[in-house]
Amino acid sequence: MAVDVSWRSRADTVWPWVAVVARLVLGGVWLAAGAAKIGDPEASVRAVRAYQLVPDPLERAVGYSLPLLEICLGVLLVIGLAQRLVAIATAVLLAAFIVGIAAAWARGLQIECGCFGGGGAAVGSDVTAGYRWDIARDVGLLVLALLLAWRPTSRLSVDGLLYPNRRATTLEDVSELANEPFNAAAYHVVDERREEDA
Amino acid sequence: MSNRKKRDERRSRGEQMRRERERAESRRTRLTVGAIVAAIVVIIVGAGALVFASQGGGGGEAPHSMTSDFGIVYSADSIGSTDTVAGVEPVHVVFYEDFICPACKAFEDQVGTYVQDQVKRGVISVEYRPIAFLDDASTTDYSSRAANAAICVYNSTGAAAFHKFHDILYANQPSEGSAGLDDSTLNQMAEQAGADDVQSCIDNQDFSGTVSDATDAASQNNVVQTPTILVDGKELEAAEGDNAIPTLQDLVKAVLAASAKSAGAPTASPDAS
Repeated sequence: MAVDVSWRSRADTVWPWVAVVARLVLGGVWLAAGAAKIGDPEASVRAVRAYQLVPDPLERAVGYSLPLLEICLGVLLVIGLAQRLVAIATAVLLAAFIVGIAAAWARGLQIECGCFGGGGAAVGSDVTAGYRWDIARDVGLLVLALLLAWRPTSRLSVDGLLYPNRRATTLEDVSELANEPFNAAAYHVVDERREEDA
Repeated sequence: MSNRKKRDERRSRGEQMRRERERAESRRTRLTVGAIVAAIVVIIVGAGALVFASQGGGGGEAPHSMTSDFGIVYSADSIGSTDTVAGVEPVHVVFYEDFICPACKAFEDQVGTYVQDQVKRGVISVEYRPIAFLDDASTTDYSSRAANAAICVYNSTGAAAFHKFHDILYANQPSEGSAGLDDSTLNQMAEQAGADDVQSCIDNQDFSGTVSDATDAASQNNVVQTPTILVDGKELEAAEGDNAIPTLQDLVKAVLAASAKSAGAPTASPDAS
Protein backbone atom coordinates (compact mmCIF):
# COMPACT_ATOMS: atom_id res chain seq x y z
CA MET A 1 0.00 0.00 0.00
CA ALA A 2 2.67 2.43 1.04
CA VAL A 3 4.77 1.54 -1.97
CA ASP A 4 1.78 2.07 -4.21
CA VAL A 5 1.17 5.54 -2.84
CA SER A 6 4.78 6.63 -3.18
CA TRP A 7 4.89 5.29 -6.74
CA ARG A 8 1.75 7.22 -7.51
CA SER A 9 2.96 10.42 -6.02
CA ARG A 10 6.21 10.11 -7.92
CA ALA A 11 4.27 9.53 -11.15
CA ASP A 12 2.19 12.56 -10.23
CA THR A 13 5.24 14.76 -10.02
CA VAL A 14 7.03 13.35 -13.06
CA TRP A 15 4.12 13.06 -15.46
CA PRO A 16 3.36 16.80 -15.76
CA TRP A 17 6.92 17.25 -17.04
CA VAL A 18 6.63 14.33 -19.46
CA ALA A 19 3.42 15.94 -20.66
CA VAL A 20 5.33 19.16 -21.34
CA VAL A 21 7.73 17.24 -23.57
CA ALA A 22 4.83 15.51 -25.35
CA ARG A 23 3.14 18.86 -25.90
CA LEU A 24 6.27 20.47 -27.29
CA VAL A 25 7.04 17.54 -29.60
CA LEU A 26 3.50 17.37 -30.98
CA GLY A 27 3.16 21.15 -31.15
CA GLY A 28 6.54 21.50 -32.82
CA VAL A 29 5.62 18.91 -35.46
CA TRP A 30 2.30 20.66 -36.19
CA LEU A 31 3.99 24.05 -36.46
CA ALA A 32 6.71 22.70 -38.76
CA ALA A 33 4.15 20.91 -40.94
CA GLY A 34 1.82 23.91 -41.10
CA ALA A 35 4.59 26.41 -41.76
CA ALA A 36 6.00 24.26 -44.56
CA LYS A 37 2.60 24.15 -46.27
CA ILE A 38 1.27 27.65 -45.75
CA GLY A 39 3.68 29.31 -48.18
CA ASP A 40 2.45 27.15 -51.05
CA PRO A 41 -1.20 26.22 -50.49
CA GLU A 42 -1.51 25.10 -54.13
CA ALA A 43 1.06 22.39 -53.41
CA SER A 44 -1.01 21.41 -50.39
CA VAL A 45 -4.06 21.08 -52.66
CA ARG A 46 -2.05 18.89 -55.05
CA ALA A 47 -0.88 16.72 -52.16
CA VAL A 48 -4.47 16.25 -51.00
CA ARG A 49 -5.50 15.41 -54.56
CA ALA A 50 -2.67 12.90 -54.96
CA TYR A 51 -4.23 10.65 -52.32
CA GLN A 52 -7.43 10.39 -54.40
CA LEU A 53 -9.48 10.13 -51.23
CA VAL A 54 -11.11 13.55 -50.86
CA PRO A 55 -14.00 14.32 -53.25
CA ASP A 56 -12.99 16.78 -56.01
CA PRO A 57 -15.01 19.81 -54.83
CA LEU A 58 -13.46 19.58 -51.34
CA GLU A 59 -9.81 19.19 -52.39
CA ARG A 60 -9.17 22.91 -52.50
CA ALA A 61 -10.88 23.61 -49.17
CA VAL A 62 -8.99 20.81 -47.43
CA GLY A 63 -5.66 21.80 -49.01
CA TYR A 64 -6.01 25.40 -47.87
CA SER A 65 -7.38 24.76 -44.39
CA LEU A 66 -5.02 21.95 -43.43
CA PRO A 67 -1.97 24.18 -42.78
CA LEU A 68 -4.15 26.60 -40.77
CA LEU A 69 -5.54 23.76 -38.66
CA GLU A 70 -2.04 22.43 -38.07
CA ILE A 71 -0.75 25.82 -36.96
CA CYS A 72 -3.74 26.31 -34.62
CA LEU A 73 -3.15 22.91 -33.00
CA GLY A 74 0.58 23.63 -32.80
CA VAL A 75 0.11 26.96 -31.03
CA LEU A 76 -2.47 25.55 -28.59
CA LEU A 77 -0.19 22.62 -27.74
CA VAL A 78 2.89 24.78 -27.23
CA ILE A 79 1.11 27.21 -24.90
CA GLY A 80 -0.89 24.37 -23.28
CA LEU A 81 -4.47 25.54 -23.62
CA ALA A 82 -7.55 23.27 -23.64
CA GLN A 83 -5.10 20.43 -23.58
CA ARG A 84 -7.39 17.41 -23.56
CA LEU A 85 -9.50 18.76 -26.41
CA VAL A 86 -6.42 19.66 -28.46
CA ALA A 87 -4.79 16.30 -27.74
CA ILE A 88 -7.92 14.51 -28.95
CA ALA A 89 -8.07 16.65 -32.11
CA THR A 90 -4.39 15.90 -32.69
CA ALA A 91 -4.99 12.16 -32.31
CA VAL A 92 -7.95 12.25 -34.71
CA LEU A 93 -5.99 14.15 -37.37
CA LEU A 94 -2.97 11.84 -37.03
CA ALA A 95 -5.22 8.79 -37.31
CA ALA A 96 -6.71 10.26 -40.51
CA PHE A 97 -3.20 10.78 -41.92
CA ILE A 98 -2.20 7.22 -41.07
CA VAL A 99 -5.30 5.86 -42.81
CA GLY A 100 -4.63 8.09 -45.84
CA ILE A 101 -1.00 7.00 -46.20
CA ALA A 102 -1.86 3.35 -45.66
CA ALA A 103 -4.62 3.61 -48.28
CA ALA A 104 -2.22 5.19 -50.79
CA TRP A 105 0.30 2.44 -50.09
CA ALA A 106 -2.30 -0.32 -50.38
CA ARG A 107 -3.54 1.00 -53.71
CA GLY A 108 0.00 1.22 -55.05
CA LEU A 109 -0.04 4.99 -55.58
CA GLN A 110 3.40 6.42 -56.27
CA ILE A 111 3.25 9.54 -54.13
CA GLU A 112 5.03 11.22 -51.26
CA CYS A 113 3.00 12.11 -48.23
CA GLY A 114 3.27 15.89 -48.52
CA CYS A 115 3.31 15.96 -44.73
CA PHE A 116 5.85 18.76 -44.62
CA GLY A 117 5.02 20.62 -47.80
CA GLY A 118 5.47 19.50 -51.36
CA GLY A 119 2.66 18.59 -53.69
CA GLY A 120 2.75 14.83 -53.22
CA ALA A 121 5.06 14.42 -56.21
CA ALA A 122 7.24 11.40 -55.68
CA VAL A 123 10.83 12.63 -55.76
CA GLY A 124 12.70 9.65 -54.41
CA SER A 125 12.60 6.32 -56.16
CA ASP A 126 11.62 4.24 -53.14
CA VAL A 127 8.12 5.37 -52.21
CA THR A 128 7.48 2.24 -50.13
CA ALA A 129 10.25 3.18 -47.70
CA GLY A 130 8.67 6.63 -47.55
CA TYR A 131 5.25 5.19 -46.65
CA ARG A 132 6.77 2.95 -43.98
CA TRP A 133 8.66 5.80 -42.32
CA ASP A 134 5.70 8.21 -42.50
CA ILE A 135 3.38 5.69 -40.86
CA ALA A 136 5.93 4.80 -38.16
CA ARG A 137 6.39 8.48 -37.33
CA ASP A 138 2.67 9.20 -37.25
CA VAL A 139 1.97 6.16 -35.06
CA GLY A 140 4.61 7.36 -32.59
CA LEU A 141 3.03 10.81 -32.52
CA LEU A 142 -0.43 9.26 -32.14
CA VAL A 143 0.72 7.38 -29.02
CA LEU A 144 2.00 10.66 -27.54
CA ALA A 145 -1.28 12.40 -28.37
CA LEU A 146 -3.33 9.64 -26.75
CA LEU A 147 -1.20 9.76 -23.60
CA LEU A 148 -1.72 13.50 -23.45
CA ALA A 149 -5.47 13.09 -23.98
CA TRP A 150 -5.56 10.52 -21.19
CA ARG A 151 -3.64 12.67 -18.69
CA PRO A 152 -3.45 16.28 -19.89
CA THR A 153 -2.04 17.57 -16.60
CA SER A 154 1.02 19.48 -17.58
CA ARG A 155 3.47 22.02 -16.24
CA LEU A 156 4.26 25.31 -17.95
CA SER A 157 0.83 25.58 -19.49
CA VAL A 158 -1.85 28.22 -19.82
CA ASP A 159 -4.28 25.64 -18.45
CA GLY A 160 -2.07 25.54 -15.35
CA LEU A 161 -2.32 29.33 -15.02
CA LEU A 162 -6.08 29.22 -15.34
CA TYR A 163 -6.40 26.49 -12.68
CA PRO A 164 -3.59 27.40 -10.31
CA ASN A 165 -4.95 25.34 -7.38
CA ARG A 166 -6.02 22.24 -9.17
CA ARG A 167 -4.45 19.24 -10.69
CA ALA A 168 -7.35 18.98 -13.05
CA THR A 169 -6.71 20.75 -16.29
CA THR A 170 -9.71 20.03 -18.40
CA LEU A 171 -13.24 21.19 -18.28
CA GLU A 172 -14.51 17.65 -17.85
CA ASP A 173 -12.29 17.08 -14.85
CA VAL A 174 -13.43 20.28 -13.23
CA SER A 175 -17.11 19.52 -13.64
CA GLU A 176 -16.51 16.00 -12.35
CA LEU A 177 -14.81 17.37 -9.29
CA ALA A 178 -17.69 19.69 -8.61
CA ASN A 179 -20.13 16.80 -8.64
CA GLU A 180 -18.05 14.38 -6.59
CA PRO A 181 -17.48 15.35 -3.00
CA PHE A 182 -15.09 12.49 -2.47
CA ASN A 183 -12.89 13.53 -5.37
CA ALA A 184 -13.20 17.12 -4.36
CA ALA A 185 -11.86 16.23 -0.94
CA ALA A 186 -9.04 14.27 -2.51
CA TYR A 187 -8.04 17.20 -4.63
CA HIS A 188 -8.12 19.54 -1.70
CA VAL A 189 -5.60 17.28 -0.04
CA VAL A 190 -3.47 17.58 -3.12
CA ASP A 191 -3.90 21.34 -3.05
CA GLU A 192 -2.60 21.46 0.47
CA ARG A 193 0.38 19.36 -0.51
CA ARG A 194 1.11 21.71 -3.38
CA GLU A 195 1.05 24.60 -0.97
CA GLU A 196 3.49 22.78 1.26
CA ASP A 197 5.73 22.19 -1.73
CA ALA A 198 5.67 25.87 -2.48
CA MET B 1 -26.26 17.24 21.03
CA SER B 2 -27.97 20.24 19.59
CA ASN B 3 -24.66 21.98 19.25
CA ARG B 4 -23.24 19.10 17.26
CA LYS B 5 -26.27 19.10 14.99
CA LYS B 6 -25.82 22.78 14.36
CA ARG B 7 -22.16 22.26 13.60
CA ASP B 8 -23.00 19.50 11.13
CA GLU B 9 -25.58 21.67 9.50
CA ARG B 10 -23.17 24.53 9.21
CA ARG B 11 -20.54 22.27 7.78
CA SER B 12 -22.85 20.84 5.13
CA ARG B 13 -24.01 24.33 4.23
CA GLY B 14 -20.40 25.32 3.88
CA GLU B 15 -19.78 22.30 1.74
CA GLN B 16 -22.70 23.22 -0.50
CA MET B 17 -21.51 26.79 -0.86
CA ARG B 18 -18.07 25.59 -1.72
CA ARG B 19 -19.47 23.30 -4.38
CA GLU B 20 -21.53 26.11 -5.87
CA ARG B 21 -18.53 28.36 -5.85
CA GLU B 22 -16.53 25.69 -7.66
CA ARG B 23 -19.25 25.20 -10.21
CA ALA B 24 -19.39 28.92 -10.93
CA GLU B 25 -15.63 29.01 -11.13
CA SER B 26 -15.53 26.14 -13.59
CA ARG B 27 -18.13 27.87 -15.75
CA ARG B 28 -16.01 31.01 -15.74
CA THR B 29 -12.88 29.06 -16.61
CA ARG B 30 -14.67 27.27 -19.39
CA LEU B 31 -15.69 30.60 -20.88
CA THR B 32 -12.17 31.96 -20.51
CA VAL B 33 -10.63 28.92 -22.21
CA GLY B 34 -13.21 29.07 -24.99
CA ALA B 35 -12.61 32.77 -25.53
CA ILE B 36 -8.82 32.43 -25.69
CA VAL B 37 -9.03 29.45 -28.06
CA ALA B 38 -11.45 31.35 -30.29
CA ALA B 39 -9.19 34.43 -30.29
CA ILE B 40 -6.12 32.36 -31.24
CA VAL B 41 -7.99 30.56 -34.03
CA VAL B 42 -9.35 33.85 -35.42
CA ILE B 43 -5.88 35.42 -35.42
CA ILE B 44 -4.25 32.44 -37.15
CA VAL B 45 -6.98 32.01 -39.75
CA GLY B 46 -6.99 35.76 -40.44
CA ALA B 47 -3.22 35.86 -40.86
CA GLY B 48 -3.41 32.77 -43.06
CA ALA B 49 -6.04 34.37 -45.26
CA LEU B 50 -3.77 37.41 -45.69
CA VAL B 51 -0.84 35.15 -46.64
CA PHE B 52 -3.03 33.30 -49.14
CA ALA B 53 -4.36 36.54 -50.61
CA SER B 54 -0.82 37.85 -51.12
CA GLN B 55 0.07 34.85 -53.26
CA GLY B 56 -0.30 35.03 -57.02
CA GLY B 57 -2.10 31.79 -57.70
CA GLY B 58 -3.46 31.05 -61.15
CA GLY B 59 -5.00 33.30 -63.75
CA GLY B 60 -3.55 35.52 -66.41
CA GLU B 61 -3.76 34.67 -70.05
CA ALA B 62 -1.81 31.78 -71.54
CA PRO B 63 -0.43 32.21 -75.07
CA HIS B 64 -3.30 31.44 -77.47
CA SER B 65 -1.36 28.79 -79.31
CA MET B 66 -0.91 26.68 -76.18
CA THR B 67 -3.23 23.69 -75.93
CA SER B 68 -6.12 23.72 -73.48
CA ASP B 69 -3.95 21.59 -71.16
CA PHE B 70 -1.20 24.21 -71.23
CA GLY B 71 0.94 22.28 -73.68
CA ILE B 72 3.40 23.59 -76.25
CA VAL B 73 3.14 21.65 -79.50
CA TYR B 74 6.49 20.67 -80.96
CA SER B 75 5.66 19.03 -84.28
CA ALA B 76 6.72 19.01 -87.92
CA ASP B 77 4.00 21.58 -88.50
CA SER B 78 4.90 23.88 -85.66
CA ILE B 79 8.60 23.98 -86.61
CA GLY B 80 7.98 24.00 -90.36
CA SER B 81 9.87 20.79 -91.07
CA THR B 82 10.10 19.70 -94.72
CA ASP B 83 11.58 16.25 -94.02
CA THR B 84 8.26 14.61 -93.22
CA VAL B 85 7.49 11.07 -94.25
CA ALA B 86 4.50 11.03 -96.60
CA GLY B 87 1.25 9.44 -95.45
CA VAL B 88 2.14 9.14 -91.79
CA GLU B 89 -0.17 10.41 -89.09
CA PRO B 90 2.04 11.60 -86.20
CA VAL B 91 1.61 9.84 -82.86
CA HIS B 92 0.67 12.28 -80.11
CA VAL B 93 3.14 12.24 -77.22
CA VAL B 94 2.79 14.35 -74.05
CA PHE B 95 5.70 15.17 -71.75
CA TYR B 96 4.92 16.61 -68.34
CA GLU B 97 8.21 18.09 -67.23
CA ASP B 98 9.69 20.11 -64.41
CA PHE B 99 12.97 21.75 -65.33
CA ILE B 100 14.66 21.04 -61.99
CA CYS B 101 13.63 17.38 -61.94
CA PRO B 102 16.70 15.13 -62.32
CA ALA B 103 14.61 12.24 -63.68
CA CYS B 104 13.31 14.57 -66.40
CA LYS B 105 16.88 15.37 -67.38
CA ALA B 106 17.87 11.69 -67.31
CA PHE B 107 14.90 10.85 -69.53
CA GLU B 108 15.58 13.78 -71.84
CA ASP B 109 19.25 12.75 -72.18
CA GLN B 110 18.07 9.36 -73.40
CA VAL B 111 15.26 10.31 -75.74
CA GLY B 112 16.26 13.83 -76.88
CA THR B 113 17.80 12.89 -80.23
CA TYR B 114 15.13 10.35 -81.07
CA VAL B 115 12.35 12.83 -80.28
CA GLN B 116 13.92 15.57 -82.37
CA ASP B 117 14.39 13.26 -85.38
CA GLN B 118 10.92 11.75 -85.25
CA VAL B 119 9.29 15.13 -84.86
CA LYS B 120 11.11 16.39 -87.96
CA ARG B 121 9.98 13.30 -89.88
CA GLY B 122 6.44 13.78 -88.69
CA VAL B 123 6.31 10.41 -86.96
CA ILE B 124 5.49 11.92 -83.58
CA SER B 125 4.11 15.23 -82.44
CA VAL B 126 5.13 16.22 -78.94
CA GLU B 127 3.16 18.32 -76.51
CA TYR B 128 5.42 19.67 -73.76
CA ARG B 129 3.57 20.60 -70.62
CA PRO B 130 6.03 22.47 -68.38
CA ILE B 131 4.82 22.41 -64.78
CA ALA B 132 6.19 23.36 -61.37
CA PHE B 133 5.83 20.45 -58.97
CA LEU B 134 9.21 21.00 -57.36
CA ASP B 135 9.36 24.62 -56.23
CA ASP B 136 10.44 23.22 -52.86
CA ALA B 137 13.54 21.74 -54.50
CA SER B 138 15.16 25.17 -54.92
CA THR B 139 15.29 28.17 -52.66
CA THR B 140 13.99 30.50 -55.39
CA ASP B 141 11.05 28.62 -56.93
CA TYR B 142 13.27 27.74 -59.87
CA SER B 143 10.68 25.29 -61.25
CA SER B 144 8.12 28.06 -61.66
CA ARG B 145 10.63 30.60 -62.99
CA ALA B 146 12.10 28.19 -65.55
CA ALA B 147 8.65 27.09 -66.74
CA ASN B 148 7.62 30.74 -67.03
CA ALA B 149 10.76 31.52 -69.04
CA ALA B 150 10.06 28.60 -71.37
CA ILE B 151 6.55 29.90 -72.04
CA CYS B 152 8.00 33.40 -72.59
CA VAL B 153 10.36 32.00 -75.24
CA TYR B 154 7.54 30.07 -76.90
CA ASN B 155 5.22 33.07 -76.86
CA SER B 156 7.76 35.43 -78.40
CA THR B 157 9.59 33.16 -80.82
CA GLY B 158 7.72 29.87 -81.31
CA ALA B 159 8.10 26.13 -80.88
CA ALA B 160 11.57 25.71 -82.38
CA ALA B 161 13.11 28.31 -80.07
CA PHE B 162 11.20 26.83 -77.14
CA HIS B 163 12.68 23.44 -77.89
CA LYS B 164 16.20 24.80 -78.11
CA PHE B 165 15.69 26.63 -74.81
CA HIS B 166 14.31 23.44 -73.28
CA ASP B 167 17.53 21.60 -74.27
CA ILE B 168 19.69 24.40 -72.86
CA LEU B 169 17.73 24.33 -69.58
CA TYR B 170 18.43 20.62 -69.15
CA ALA B 171 22.08 21.00 -70.15
CA ASN B 172 22.44 23.56 -67.35
CA GLN B 173 20.09 21.99 -64.84
CA PRO B 174 20.80 23.23 -61.30
CA SER B 175 20.94 20.61 -58.57
CA GLU B 176 18.04 20.07 -56.19
CA GLY B 177 18.37 22.08 -53.02
CA SER B 178 20.32 24.86 -54.71
CA ALA B 179 19.16 28.39 -55.50
CA GLY B 180 18.68 27.49 -59.15
CA LEU B 181 19.66 29.77 -62.00
CA ASP B 182 18.83 33.45 -61.66
CA ASP B 183 16.60 35.38 -64.04
CA SER B 184 19.47 37.04 -65.90
CA THR B 185 21.02 33.64 -66.61
CA LEU B 186 17.65 32.39 -67.84
CA ASN B 187 17.45 35.43 -70.08
CA GLN B 188 20.94 34.81 -71.50
CA MET B 189 20.00 31.21 -72.21
CA ALA B 190 16.78 32.34 -73.89
CA GLU B 191 18.76 34.66 -76.15
CA GLN B 192 21.12 31.80 -76.91
CA ALA B 193 18.05 29.82 -78.03
CA GLY B 194 17.19 32.65 -80.40
CA ALA B 195 14.38 34.22 -78.42
CA ASP B 196 13.59 37.88 -79.01
CA ASP B 197 12.97 40.31 -76.24
CA VAL B 198 11.94 38.05 -73.38
CA GLN B 199 13.79 39.80 -70.56
CA SER B 200 10.80 41.64 -69.10
CA CYS B 201 8.62 38.54 -69.50
CA ILE B 202 11.19 36.54 -67.50
CA ASP B 203 11.84 39.24 -64.92
CA ASN B 204 8.16 39.99 -64.30
CA GLN B 205 7.11 36.34 -64.58
CA ASP B 206 4.38 37.28 -67.04
CA PHE B 207 3.18 33.69 -67.26
CA SER B 208 3.37 32.73 -63.58
CA GLY B 209 -0.42 32.42 -63.53
CA THR B 210 -0.25 30.10 -66.53
CA VAL B 211 2.42 27.96 -64.84
CA SER B 212 0.28 27.74 -61.75
CA ASP B 213 -2.80 26.79 -63.81
CA ALA B 214 -0.77 24.25 -65.78
CA THR B 215 0.51 22.67 -62.57
CA ASP B 216 -2.99 22.50 -61.16
CA ALA B 217 -4.33 21.00 -64.40
CA ALA B 218 -1.63 18.32 -64.32
CA SER B 219 -2.55 17.40 -60.76
CA GLN B 220 -6.23 17.23 -61.76
CA ASN B 221 -5.19 14.77 -64.48
CA ASN B 222 -3.73 12.58 -61.71
CA VAL B 223 -0.15 13.38 -62.66
CA VAL B 224 1.85 13.02 -59.44
CA GLN B 225 5.41 12.93 -60.70
CA THR B 226 7.66 14.18 -63.44
CA PRO B 227 8.42 13.05 -66.02
CA THR B 228 5.00 11.68 -66.84
CA ILE B 229 4.73 10.66 -70.47
CA LEU B 230 1.54 9.95 -72.38
CA VAL B 231 1.74 8.16 -75.73
CA ASP B 232 -1.51 8.40 -77.67
CA GLY B 233 -3.24 9.32 -74.42
CA LYS B 234 -1.90 6.34 -72.45
CA GLU B 235 0.62 6.74 -69.64
CA LEU B 236 3.99 5.30 -70.60
CA GLU B 237 5.08 2.72 -68.00
CA ALA B 238 8.64 1.59 -67.52
CA ALA B 239 9.15 -2.05 -68.45
CA GLU B 240 11.56 -2.28 -65.55
CA GLY B 241 9.07 -1.82 -62.74
CA ASP B 242 6.98 0.48 -60.65
CA ASN B 243 9.37 3.17 -59.62
CA ALA B 244 11.62 3.26 -62.67
CA ILE B 245 11.72 6.04 -65.23
CA PRO B 246 10.67 4.86 -68.71
CA THR B 247 13.59 4.35 -71.08
CA LEU B 248 14.10 5.16 -74.76
CA GLN B 249 13.09 1.57 -75.61
CA ASP B 250 9.85 1.95 -73.67
CA LEU B 251 9.05 5.11 -75.61
CA VAL B 252 9.97 3.69 -79.03
CA LYS B 253 7.93 0.55 -78.40
CA ALA B 254 4.88 2.56 -77.36
CA VAL B 255 5.21 4.89 -80.37
CA LEU B 256 5.51 1.97 -82.79
CA ALA B 257 2.47 0.26 -81.26
CA ALA B 258 0.42 3.46 -81.48
CA SER B 259 1.47 4.19 -85.05
CA ALA B 260 0.69 0.62 -86.14
CA LYS B 261 -2.77 1.06 -84.61
CA SER B 262 -3.42 4.34 -86.39
CA ALA B 263 -2.05 2.94 -89.69
CA GLY B 264 -4.54 0.06 -89.36
CA ALA B 265 -7.51 2.25 -88.66
CA PRO B 266 -7.88 4.17 -91.99
CA THR B 267 -7.73 0.96 -94.09
CA ALA B 268 -10.53 -0.53 -92.05
CA SER B 269 -12.99 2.34 -92.41
CA PRO B 270 -13.06 2.76 -96.24
CA ASP B 271 -13.95 -0.92 -96.51
CA ALA B 272 -16.94 -0.37 -94.30
CA SER B 273 -18.31 2.58 -96.25
